[in-house]
Amino acid sequence: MTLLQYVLIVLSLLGLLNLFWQIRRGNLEWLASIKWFIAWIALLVVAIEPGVADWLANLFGTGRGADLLIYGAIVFIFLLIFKLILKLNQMDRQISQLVSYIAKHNVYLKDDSEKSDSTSQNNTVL
Amino acid sequence: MIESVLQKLLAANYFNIVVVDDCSRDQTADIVKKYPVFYLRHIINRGQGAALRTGTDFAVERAAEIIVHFDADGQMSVEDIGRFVESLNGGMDVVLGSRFLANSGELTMPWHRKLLLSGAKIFNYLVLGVNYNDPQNGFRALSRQAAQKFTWKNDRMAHCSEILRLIKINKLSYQEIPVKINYSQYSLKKGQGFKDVWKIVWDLFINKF
Repeated sequence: MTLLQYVLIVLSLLGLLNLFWQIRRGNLEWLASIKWFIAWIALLVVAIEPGVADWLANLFGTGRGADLLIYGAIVFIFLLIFKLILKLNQMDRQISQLVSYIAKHNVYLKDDSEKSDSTSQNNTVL
Repeated sequence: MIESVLQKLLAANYFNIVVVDDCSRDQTADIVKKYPVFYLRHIINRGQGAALRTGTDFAVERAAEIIVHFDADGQMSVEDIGRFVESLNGGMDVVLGSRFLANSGELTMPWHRKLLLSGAKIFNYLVLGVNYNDPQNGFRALSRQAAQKFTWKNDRMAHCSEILRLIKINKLSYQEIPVKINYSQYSLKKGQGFKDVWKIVWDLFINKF
């Protein structure tokens, strides 16, 4: 076994330990727990037996395990960015709602006796 | 610019004027506060679409029967407002200004602006499935019912196209009427350019989600 494999094994075991710790303290939802569990176990399996990654790579047709990892990572990052953009857009809209609310509740109107009442027909928005 | 626009509107006896200040850093607030108009201020800049939404919502809350969107840069003519109101009173839900119908100010438009608008028209037809004479015209009037029926999501320039689509989705009746637009150096500087095209297309896409 290479040094990298030992490092990865220790890393994944620490990850699993931390995960169980977090679950016991109730910091994680069950769905997130399962996702993290699968991720750490996958890392542990690949660290112990690198052949698994190559077998998977052959299954997908990318040839090498490392290649599959990179492709997967790129797809993952794209999805993540898209999710972030949507989240930002949603926050943008919420900020607008807030700004609009503040504007509508702090209306300035010059006192003018000649002003007609607001129910009359002509309303102009600038 | 806004001062002369306000003076003209008031001189034409339009008294229910709502000014939405989208976080201007110039003297807009001081100028507007001299006139008997509703002054609303966005404490941070949110874009034209957001400003129009704030103003429209406010007008609806104040029981407005007719809401006219009118730019503050002096490019729209006060004389045209009457025809918008007439058309709404004739039963239309939405009235849209067009620069390309007979008697409008087509001749005063610079060629690059025309090219840009032709592109917008084709895009709107192909992607949004709407076919209007002048898709990026900000001069429009809404009936109270129409304003209550829809709100646009786009804060920035894409609201123009979005409103056209909302008219179609909500099956509202509409009419396009010719308007005269006066292009000045000032209004051209404030208007849309080629660099905004991608932003508009992107905004329309992302706001679908």
